[in-house]
Amino acid sequence: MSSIKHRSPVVRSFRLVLRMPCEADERITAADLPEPCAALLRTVVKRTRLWPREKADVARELIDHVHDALAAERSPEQIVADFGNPTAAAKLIRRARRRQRHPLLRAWTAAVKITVVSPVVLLGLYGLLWICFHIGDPTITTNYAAMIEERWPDAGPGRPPYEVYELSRIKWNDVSLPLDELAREKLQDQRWSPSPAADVPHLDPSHPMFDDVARAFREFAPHLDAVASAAERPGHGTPIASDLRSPETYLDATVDPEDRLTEIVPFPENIANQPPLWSVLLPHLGWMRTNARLLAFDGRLALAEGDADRFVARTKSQLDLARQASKDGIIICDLVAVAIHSLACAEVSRAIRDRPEVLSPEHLSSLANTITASHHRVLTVRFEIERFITRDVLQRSFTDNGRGNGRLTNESYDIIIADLGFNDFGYVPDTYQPGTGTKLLAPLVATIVADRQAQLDVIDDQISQAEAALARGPSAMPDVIAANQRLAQRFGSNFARTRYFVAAIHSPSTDRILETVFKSRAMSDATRAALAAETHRRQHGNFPESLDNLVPAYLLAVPEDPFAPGTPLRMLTLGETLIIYSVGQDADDDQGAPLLDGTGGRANHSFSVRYAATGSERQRRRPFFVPITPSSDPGDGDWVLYPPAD
Amino acid sequence: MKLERELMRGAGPTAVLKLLERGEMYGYQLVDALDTRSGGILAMGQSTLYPMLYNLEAKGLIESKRKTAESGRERKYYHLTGKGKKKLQSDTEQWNNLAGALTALGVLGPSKVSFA
Repeated sequence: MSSIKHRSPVVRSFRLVLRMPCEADERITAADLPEPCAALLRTVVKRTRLWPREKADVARELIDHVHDALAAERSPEQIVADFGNPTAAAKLIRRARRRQRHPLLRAWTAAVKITVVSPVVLLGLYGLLWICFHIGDPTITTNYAAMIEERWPDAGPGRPPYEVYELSRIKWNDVSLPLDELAREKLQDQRWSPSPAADVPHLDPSHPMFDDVARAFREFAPHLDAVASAAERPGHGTPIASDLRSPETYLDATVDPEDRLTEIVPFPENIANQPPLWSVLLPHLGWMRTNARLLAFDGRLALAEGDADRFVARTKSQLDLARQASKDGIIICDLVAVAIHSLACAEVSRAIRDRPEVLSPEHLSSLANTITASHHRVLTVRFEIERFITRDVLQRSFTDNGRGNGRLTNESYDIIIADLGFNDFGYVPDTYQPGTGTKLLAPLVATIVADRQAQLDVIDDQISQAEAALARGPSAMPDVIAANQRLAQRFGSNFARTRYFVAAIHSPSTDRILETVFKSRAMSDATRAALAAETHRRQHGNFPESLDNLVPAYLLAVPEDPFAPGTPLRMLTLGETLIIYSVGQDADDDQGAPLLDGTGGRANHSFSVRYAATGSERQRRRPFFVPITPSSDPGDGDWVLYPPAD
Repeated sequence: MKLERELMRGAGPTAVLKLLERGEMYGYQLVDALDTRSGGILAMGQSTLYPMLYNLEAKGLIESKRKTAESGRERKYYHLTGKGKKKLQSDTEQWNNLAGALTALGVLGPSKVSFA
């Protein structure tokens, strides 16, 4: 009769696990089998690698089998020979017995294995990634900072112009003017504005403070004259700055202004000690912008006083500042130059509108020549140094396989931190040390970051397209906007943005840049056309019927309408008022009626509205960089370029 | 003559189920019966038999229990379950169909082996 107690499979399975490890061996020994048979059974049972209780159970059955064979008068050698391959037997037994385990127990075993093994495997993988991340070093070979400085024109002998500009700004801070704070802030504001004339405070001669302000500016004139002389020199002389140190007494009017100049720390000569070039500081830009506005304001005062020579001189000085800034070859410098040029044009347009009688034909001619010369030199952007900056960042954070490609290294902490938004400029102070979290995360981030060449390709492609579009003119804007939208979609996800983070940080918004340039050219064209029309009026007693009538005596060619490529800017006269306009973003001639904004003022016109992307081309997710936001409502009205709005 | 491994893999379990149809048996009995009753063609060693028994047990086709035999020794006896009987019936039918088809094709002829 059976002596076995029947239990549930789960209980049996646990009992199998809990048996003592040596029970199978003990059973085989206790069975007193012939040595060849005992050795065979020990081998088979051991190789099953089952749980101890399972081994004991298998051993027990095999012992029974051997006993039965011996009882049947089989010799030990025959039993061993009949058994078959012990290794294969052990393997088959192991598989079969595992199948007999209860499903819950099998699931539990698998879970335990995953719980124990997975962290070990993951830790091992992380260790490998950590090693890979830390064994590669960047190879810094090219001194891009020096290459940029070589391209900047020499300032020539004497005090460098950038010091003159800062000194003027410091002294302007010390001037006590009866201007309200808002006007003062406008004159010091360094931000670029699409409406440059609106940035300069208007002061009519009838204003009760006019005489006081005019006197203060007359006293300030020597500083503006110094700025004007400095602006005539080929370059501004600013070193490529890695840091700035302003004295604590910067705003203290009791301290000699000469002692309050900012100390500019140039880039170290040793390229290994240089910070990434994208943290380059360009302090002269702010000083030049402030002085351009001071010159513009003094020009307004000169016009109000009837001093046309001073107005023309101040206009020329503004354009000289624009020329100096434009020679830097960095996009932001080019844009500042474009803004200063636009400011000067707006002031000239305003002068023709409000005080044409002050300007003689010679003054008009001089202004036209000066603006035309600046127009061709200044109203463009150059991308070459953007390529340098990108390459410099890559050479400092990626390895180099000798063919210009490589992977992210642990030198990229600063860049990763910058990408996480350390500050607006991606500038990380020398004293900053990456935290433990950043250090631990970096090897994982490195696994998804695209290699050096892939990062470079994204930016180079975008810049090449922008350069080609710049050469084509405004007719290229639809392609530029569509390409930027496609790029924004392609890199819209967080994963893609992380994968191409260097390109993401450094990719210029080419659509915005080109829009600024093309629109500034149109504003400059309109000022030149207004000067030509005013000259025509002086000679013939009236404005011409169209801009065509100004060619070639007053204009070399009729300027093109950027919103309707291939067609000229429009002109009409309403009584004594000359109007020069573009059809604007609705591409529809509204006979010079301006597009108005919600406050009744003139609205801005945008190529993104003129060439609004539709359907799948419209950006839906967080952009790679920030392209112009498409809009599909162009409104109704023209872009009036002359007369100016204010 | 022994069967090739693939044929044994197909025929072995059915043969074991068939032997157990008559009553419960322990391991050595099965080895002995397969050898003698198939004229050695279905003879298999322990390395094949016991994994096969464990697999059949895992599938629920057979069950085992330890019993003391008449000789006084305790052994593990295997017997057919209800599921095993159905499986045997299905396998038998399939083998018959297969044998009929092979005979019709002339692959199978009069057997050269006498079965006990």
